[in-house]
Amino acid sequence: MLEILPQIIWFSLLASAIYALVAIGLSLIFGILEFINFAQGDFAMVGAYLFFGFVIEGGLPWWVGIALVVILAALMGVIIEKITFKPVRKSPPFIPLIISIGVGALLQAIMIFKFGGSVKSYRIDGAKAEVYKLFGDTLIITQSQITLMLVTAGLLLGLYLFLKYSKTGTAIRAVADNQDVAAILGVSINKTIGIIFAVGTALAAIAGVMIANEQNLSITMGLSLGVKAFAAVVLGGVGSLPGAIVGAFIIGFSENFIVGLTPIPSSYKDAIVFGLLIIMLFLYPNGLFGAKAEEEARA
Amino acid sequence: MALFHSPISLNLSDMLNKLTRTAGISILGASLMFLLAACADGPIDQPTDTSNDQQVAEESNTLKVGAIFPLTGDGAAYGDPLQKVAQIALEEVNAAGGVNGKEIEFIWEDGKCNGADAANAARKLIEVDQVKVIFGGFCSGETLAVAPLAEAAGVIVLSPGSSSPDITTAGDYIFRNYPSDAKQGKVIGEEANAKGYAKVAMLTEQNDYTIGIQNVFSEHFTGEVISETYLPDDSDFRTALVKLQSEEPDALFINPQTPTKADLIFKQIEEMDWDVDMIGNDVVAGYQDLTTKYAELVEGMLVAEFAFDRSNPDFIALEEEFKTRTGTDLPYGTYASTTYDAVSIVRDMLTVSETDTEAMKNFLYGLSGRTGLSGSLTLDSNGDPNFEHRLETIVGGEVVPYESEGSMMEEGEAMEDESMEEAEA
Repeated sequence: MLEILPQIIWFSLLASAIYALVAIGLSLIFGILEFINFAQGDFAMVGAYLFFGFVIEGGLPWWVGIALVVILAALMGVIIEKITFKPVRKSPPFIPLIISIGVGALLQAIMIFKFGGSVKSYRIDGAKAEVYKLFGDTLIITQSQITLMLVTAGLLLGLYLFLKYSKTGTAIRAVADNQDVAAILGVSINKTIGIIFAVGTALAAIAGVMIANEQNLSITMGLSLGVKAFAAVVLGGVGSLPGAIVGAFIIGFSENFIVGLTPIPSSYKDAIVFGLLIIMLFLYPNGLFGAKAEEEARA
Repeated sequence: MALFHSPISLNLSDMLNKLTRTAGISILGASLMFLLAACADGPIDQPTDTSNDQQVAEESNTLKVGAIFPLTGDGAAYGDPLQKVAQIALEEVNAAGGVNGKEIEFIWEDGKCNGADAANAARKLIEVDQVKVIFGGFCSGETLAVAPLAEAAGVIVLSPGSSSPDITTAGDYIFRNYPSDAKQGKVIGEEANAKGYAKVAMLTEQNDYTIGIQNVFSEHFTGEVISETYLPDDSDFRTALVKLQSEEPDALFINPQTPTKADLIFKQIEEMDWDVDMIGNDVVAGYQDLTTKYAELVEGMLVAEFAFDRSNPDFIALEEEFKTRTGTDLPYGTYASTTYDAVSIVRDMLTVSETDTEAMKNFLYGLSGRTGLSGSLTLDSNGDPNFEHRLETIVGGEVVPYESEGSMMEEGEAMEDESMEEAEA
């Protein structure tokens, strides 16, 4: 049992990183607009397929592909926000939520129309994964897994610095804190929300490329990702970015430890993880970081 | 009050005799009810009304048949190409005169490879389109969910791809021309015994098709089966695989519902650098892209597919037609052969009767020695075909016939008998 522990810890980190990538975008949008964007996982799916189209089918260099994916995804985010979410900004939060489900379904339909339903991956035929063995073969890691971890760490750090130190980041935080006050102080609400969607969608799209590199492409990949990321956000405290990341790690670690170290088969992991979520929410009704956020708001 | 007693209304009512007035009221009432009904189901009924109008217009020259395949989601990896195969077959059938000069039209619905969506699709086909025959489902989960609805409505179900053993007893109106996995699980289980495996690790997706295979395999394999299962939505199998690996099994049986999952599982095994004898189900075997992509990993993998003659010129013609239309190679030859044949079975069945499902049912039960791409088909009293599964293996990315361990079948059987005796002793 113990000899597989290093491997399971590594797999937990990988799963957590993937959930965190989707969860931060979800949390970012919730922080401002206070609705759960169910299309977030599908934004990731679109990013993954666009990269496939540009790089694998189109033969562009990978860095050109990434740049195009980021630009197109940001643009897509802004446009979707303008046409679908902006008109209902003052409506109760379940209305944009339902719209986001519709947007997700539409994106899936477009992608299946464009790319078809067959199995797709970034893997080049005949190429074999580069494998590194550590700790006397008890830990095996691959090049693409290392890339995933580094990119995730970089994106999280970059987002933190952007929100904390850039002028736009400050505006985003101001709008998240209080839209009316921010507007009085001269922050353009529409522009800020547009930027948030651009950033949130671009983040999701890069996440999608990273995830597809690890887990292949699937039209429905966004759905399960979205649900897990949503759980991470709720667990961490809705609207709190560090909370979303911590939530992602709790879910990633608990599902892998439950499957790896107990006789419970992996088909039960969702049931157990979501059961855990319910218990956690009994103990911390606002999520782990939510109570703190509420106190801060009151102070 | 003045208005009610206005001379005009009085005059009007005077002019109507009792009989016409009653008739008028009935017509008015009927139209009102019709209007109300139309309003109540407004948007949902709208397209139905148009299709009914079309149906009336085209009644003389089309026969509608429901069709349920997985057209989106991971199952579309086979649902989509096989829908194209069915369309090719349908065009040929119609070009050859259809049914008594009438064309057959398939109303396609997406079963999404799961029971809930397939049941919704079946309800729509049975109640709204009022079809007498459903072609499909394709995934076992689809067909098993459609079966009770079709059975209750007396609608014929003919599946060209569902292989779960449970479909054998799913109902009197439920037929298939693809063999049950009772046979697939059996030949693989017996060969695993012949190879002398004592412990087989099995990674199974939670679906009717895959669970059917696992049950039958476990029944026939005399050694220990270490089972790990995952949900259709899962995409991370690493921890489950590491857990299976730590049990040090003699072989690993990969049992996914779709090639999408198979691809992911292979990738994750490769990344673990795990070298183990492998066994796969026919979803793995039938997708050439997959076996060539992971050629090194799946070399020598034991699989079993339904046996049919791939050198049949008609099958080769189908492969070529598919290639011309789509620009890609035909995947899942086994399923393509049964899908193609099932379309002409539908034609023959409708030729017997266009509406009487009792007569169609009797026709299907009477099918015997019918030649097609998939072979000489006879349906038994459960509506199951006489086809067999054949062991195969993968060499250099190609699926090839398998030479049994003992090279002679008798030897294999003898060994199996011995081990049975040992087990009994």
